[in-house]
Order: sequence, then C-alpha cells, then structure tokens
Amino acid sequence: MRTKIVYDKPGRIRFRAGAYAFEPEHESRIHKACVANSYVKNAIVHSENGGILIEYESGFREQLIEFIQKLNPATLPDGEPDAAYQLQALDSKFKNKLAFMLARRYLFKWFVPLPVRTAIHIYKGLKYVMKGLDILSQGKLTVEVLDGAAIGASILQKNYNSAGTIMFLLNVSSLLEEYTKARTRTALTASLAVKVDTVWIVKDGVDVQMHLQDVKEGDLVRIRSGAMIPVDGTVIEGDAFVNEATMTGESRAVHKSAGKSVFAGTILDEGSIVVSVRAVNGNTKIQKIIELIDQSEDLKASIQSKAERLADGIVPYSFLGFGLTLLLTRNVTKAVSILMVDYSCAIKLSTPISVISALREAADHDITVKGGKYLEEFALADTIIFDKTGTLTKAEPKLERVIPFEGRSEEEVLRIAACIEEHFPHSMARAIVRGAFDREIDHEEEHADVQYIVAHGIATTLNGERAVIGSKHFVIEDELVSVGDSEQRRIDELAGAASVIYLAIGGKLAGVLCISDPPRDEAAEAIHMLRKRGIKHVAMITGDSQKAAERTAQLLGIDTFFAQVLPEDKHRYVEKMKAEGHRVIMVGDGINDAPALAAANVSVALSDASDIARETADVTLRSEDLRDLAELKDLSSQLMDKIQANYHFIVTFNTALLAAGFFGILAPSTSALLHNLSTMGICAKSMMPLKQHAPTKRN
Amino acid sequence: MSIWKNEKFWCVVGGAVGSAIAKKILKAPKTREYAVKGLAHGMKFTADAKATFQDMKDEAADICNDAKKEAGK
Repeated sequence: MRTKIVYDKPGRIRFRAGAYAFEPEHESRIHKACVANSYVKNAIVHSENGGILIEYESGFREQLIEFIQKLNPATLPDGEPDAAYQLQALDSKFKNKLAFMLARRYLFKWFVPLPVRTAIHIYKGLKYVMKGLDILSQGKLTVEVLDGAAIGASILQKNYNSAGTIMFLLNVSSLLEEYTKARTRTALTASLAVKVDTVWIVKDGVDVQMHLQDVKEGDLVRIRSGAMIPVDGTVIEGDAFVNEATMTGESRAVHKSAGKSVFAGTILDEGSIVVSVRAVNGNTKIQKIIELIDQSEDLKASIQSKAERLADGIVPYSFLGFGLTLLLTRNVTKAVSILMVDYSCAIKLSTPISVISALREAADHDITVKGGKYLEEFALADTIIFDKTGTLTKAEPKLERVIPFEGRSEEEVLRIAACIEEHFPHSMARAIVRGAFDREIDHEEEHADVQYIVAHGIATTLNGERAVIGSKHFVIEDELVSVGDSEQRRIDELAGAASVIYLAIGGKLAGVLCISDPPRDEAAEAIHMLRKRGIKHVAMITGDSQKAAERTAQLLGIDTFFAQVLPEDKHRYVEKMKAEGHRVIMVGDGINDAPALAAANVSVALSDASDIARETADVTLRSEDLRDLAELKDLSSQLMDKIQANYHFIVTFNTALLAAGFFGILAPSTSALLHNLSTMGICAKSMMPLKQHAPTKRN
Repeated sequence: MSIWKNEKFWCVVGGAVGSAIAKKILKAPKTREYAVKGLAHGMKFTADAKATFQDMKDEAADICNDAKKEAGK
C-alpha cells in the first residue's frame, strides 16, 4: 500500500494513504492484520483519510514500515472484527456523527437564507407534530406528544429558532442513547463470547474431545445430562429431555429422540444423545441473552420501569400547567415556556442510559449481568449464600488420597473413577481426572453409556457390573452399598477434613477418593469486603460433612453454615432466608445449585461453573475472583445513587426553569435551550463510568 | 366574456405548458448529466470534508500525545 508517514516518534507511527485508499469494510481486516504482529501493541485505522496509527514495541520500526508497504487491503482475509476494533469504530462513528450534526446546524444557521430555513423548520417540525398527533389519536399522552406540542407551539408563535433548537437537541439526545446502547451491546457480546467450549465428537465409534470452533457440519456430537447443546442439529441416536427455555421461554423439558431437531443454547436435562451437526452457532445463546437485556420488560430494573412510567405520567401535568398558566396570565409566551420544560424526557433518557452504562462497566470488569433488574437487586441485598465446593473453595480441588477396598489397587480405583468422571463438568470430577493425569494413569473407555443422576453421582455398567460413583448419600443410602465398620474407620482416619467420593462396583465399595478442597485465596477478603459494603449475613450451603463445612466456615468467618444438605434441598434454605425478610444473593457453580440459584433474589455463577448454572444465574463472573462480588456490590450501589442524584437534579433544575418561565424571567427559547442542554448534560453524565479507577486485571 | 380574456384560463394553460416543459427538462439527458455531476461533486465534497476532518483529528491526537509524553517526563 502506498502511504506516507505523517507522524513518527519512538513507539508510535502514523501512516496516511489518503481518501479512497481503502474501503470502510477493509478497516477491520487491516486492524486485524496489524495487531497480529507480535510487536504491534495497538492499531487504529480510518478509511476516511486512509490513516493507520500504530503503537509498537521499540526496535521494530523498519519491520513495521515494510509490513505496511506490503499490505494489500483487498487481498486480506475477511473475518469477524474483534471487539476492540468494533468499540473503536463505534466511538469514532459517534464522534463523527456528532461533529457532523453540529457543523450542519451552524452552517445551516449562517448560510441558508431565512425564508428557506423557516420552510425547512416547518417541514421538519410538522413531522414531530404528526407523530405526536398519531400517538394522541391512540389515546396515549407520552413524551412524544409533549415534544410535538412544544415544537408545534413554537412554530405557531413563529418562533422558528426555538423549534429548530428543540429538534436539534432531541436528535443529539437520541444519538447519545443509540451510541450507549450499541457500545453496551458490543461490550457484552465480547464478554460473553470469549469462553472456548469443548465438545465430545463421536469418531469411528470412539468419543474424542474437540474445541467447538473445530466442529464442522455433519460431525456427530455426543451430549449428556447437564450440558448445554453447543450446535444446531438433528438427533441421530439416544433419548433425552431438553429444556428449551432459552429458545421458547417455556421451561418444560421436551422429549427428543432420533430425527428430532435440537438447538444451540438449550440444555439437556436428562439422557444422552448423539447429534449430527447442522450449524455451529455458538453465538445463538449470546445473542439471545443480549436481546433479552435489551428488550425484556421483566429484566429492566424496577427503578428504570418506574422512571419510564413516571416520565409519561408527568406529561398530562405539563399540559395542565400550560392551560393554567394561559388562564392565569393570559400570556401565550409564558404558557409555551411550560411546554418547553418538562421532567419526563431527562428522566426517561438518563435512567436507561445509566443502567446500560453500568451493565457495560460491569462487563469491562469481567462481570456479565443479564439485566438492570439484577443490578438493582444486588444493591438492595443484605444476605449472601455461597455454595461451598467450587465456589468458596479452590476452583481446582486436589485429589489427596485414594483408599482402595476389596483387594483393588489405588491405581485401578483411580483409573475407573477418572474414566467415568471425565464426561462431567464439575470441579470434583475434574480433580479426579487431573489426579489420574498427574499420576500418569491412562484410562480408556471401558464402561457403557454413563447416566448422570443430577447432583448425586454417576452410574454406568462396567464389565457387566453396575458401577456408581458419587456422594456418600448416593452410594450408601440410595444405591444401598454397605460399608463395614472397619472400612468406615479407615475412611474417617485417612480422609480428615477432605471431601470423600465413593466408588462402588457390583454393589460393593471399591474405594474412596479423598479430595482436599482448600478455600480460595481471596475468599476471606471477599467476604470481608462484602460486609463492608452492606452485606449483613453470610451463609454457606454444602453437601459436605459437618466437619469439612465447619472448618471452612471458621477459616472464612462465615456466620451460618448448612452442612450435609441434599442437593434438592438447597433451594429450601434460600427460600427460608427470603421468608425471613432477607434479600438474598446466591453464589454457586454446579448443576445441583441451579434450583437454589433460581430461588434467590439474584444469583451469581462463577466462570468455571457448569453450563446450567451459568444459564440459570443472573450474573456470571469471568475472572474466577470472588472479590468481583464486592466490585459488583459497589457498582450496583453507585448506580442506584447516581439514578437518585440525577432524579433530584432533574426535578430541581427544571422546576427552577418552570418558575422562571412562569414569572417571565426566561423566554421560551431560552427555557428550551437550557432544558435540552441540561437533558443532554445529564445523559452524557449518565454515560460516565461509575467507578473512577480502570478495571484491575488480576491473575 | 371571451374565454381568451379569462385570466384563470391562461393560468391553467400556463401551468400545463410549464409542467410539460418541466417534464421535458427533467427527462432530458443533459439534466440527468448535470444532476449526476452535481451529486458526484456533493459526494466528493463530503468525502473530502471527512478526510480533512479526520486529518485534523489525527494531528490533534498526535499533538496531545506529544504533550502527554512531555508532561510525563
């Protein structure tokens, strides 16, 4: 590409190829190609003037110049632009649009003759009036009616400049709103899209693990209980009940057998199926969530819905004020200034912008919040309940010890356990698989199809015998496997405070696996931070033994703990706390936590949580750092404070304007200008980050 | 009164002739050529204005960057 260097300082160089050097759609390709070089720190590309700004590591100047010279935008591979580029492009587009609007307004004012200007104002103003009349004819009295009335009144009074100013400021406000929404949507998509999923592909009758991005059309994917279906496709074999709530909104499980279609983003509740891939559509779920955030009334913060209702509710009073002023003063100018000023548009605009900006800011802090409502609930919550395993404890529990019985070796017990557990996305299962890997134990598939008994364990057939692995409750009480006194003594002696997983084959205890589960390093600090931010009650629920739970609670300073809780009972504790008048945050990670997560006022899943937990939870953390909960508590409280502060400002300022209009201190055009400027100002302020410091990235 | 002396009649005739001429002008290849040329000029002007504005923004960003570096020394 033929370019000239217009700026050249160590670490920063700007090339310019001029207008028409490449098309706007080439921008993302050039950006991608530039940042693909390891020495390039950042690149900004503009097609308007063919500019490429590059920040790079020192010592690579010559290499970079050569790279740009050889660059041919037309031959660069096409691809999805990355989030950083999309955000950059959005910012640049917004600034250009704003500058263009300002330039157009002033050029129009200075150079267009008055009669033409008047005609254009009337023509444009009539559109607002018609829209207002249209809404009025439907029996509604909304902000649009007020806008139309204010513009119409200005035109009737031959005050065309006022009409022009109102229309211009309304356009700027809607540009601001559009920009904030687009930016939030992009940031959220990026924050949700980063997770790299793996799937099990059936190849020549053997299950092989593969990255989702490598899956092709026609591949056969095996999906088991509790997993999210990662592709659109047709069931080839097996039977399953699939929860299609993400697609249809109905949470009843649908039976799927050979020949039926399944869709990406839905959850397999029970069973196991093999699906022939029709389309790999990893973004379906993400798009769904974003659409939900954007559109769903149910997900709006109640403060936002209230603001919107309030905004429209105020409109009749503005008209009443107009009528009364006209009646009392007999002065149309004074009456019109009441129409020029209203509380509604500022409240209606600033509240959703504040909420959506907070959602974006949360995404920047690696926290995905699925709606404004949950930020509000987080701010109001006074109680937090943690699941223990995998949430309060380390994300990577460690296999400490294998205790074999029935004359089996440690290696044999671990090999069988790892072979069965490897299909399931739970931290305990991962610990066993990793334990086998660390001990260099190969485990080939020896068992038949595995059946996952939600939150209890796994059952399968191994060499013609029933093999079960899971909690004590599952293996001993449900499966009626007997444990002798001497075996129990040995387990108690060797396991200590570790969690114990039982493996039984053919109805006899084959061995137990002791998994130590130390608390996360930051857990105690996170709880302390949450207390400082208004959480009064910290509780923990676990299926673990009393001993293990007590030890963790002591270490972390937890007020209440519930040990040996059956998975199906977890949600009862959440409901009990809610019934006592607490507003509850539930933090969990496993499939078994899903009912409890759904029962809480607001729920949080960690990044390594199972698909179903992430799907159920209202908030997901991407950073695996519990301190982000305190960060979110800050953010949500600050959001509520900001909305309140905005509300007070809007009411005070506009009341002052109304009074000034009523007493004839301000002309309607000045009122309109001040009112709309304050609305724009409050919208711009609402877009500002709530937290002063940049998000800290922790390792 | 003779129709030829009726003012309204001549207005109608004038309007009809005016419309016919306007239609001819609008459909004439020359008009189209001028319109296309005018539009192209307009588009080029917008593109050039955008390029100039972007150049200005880039230069301002570079000056700002230098100032920041200078202040940070």
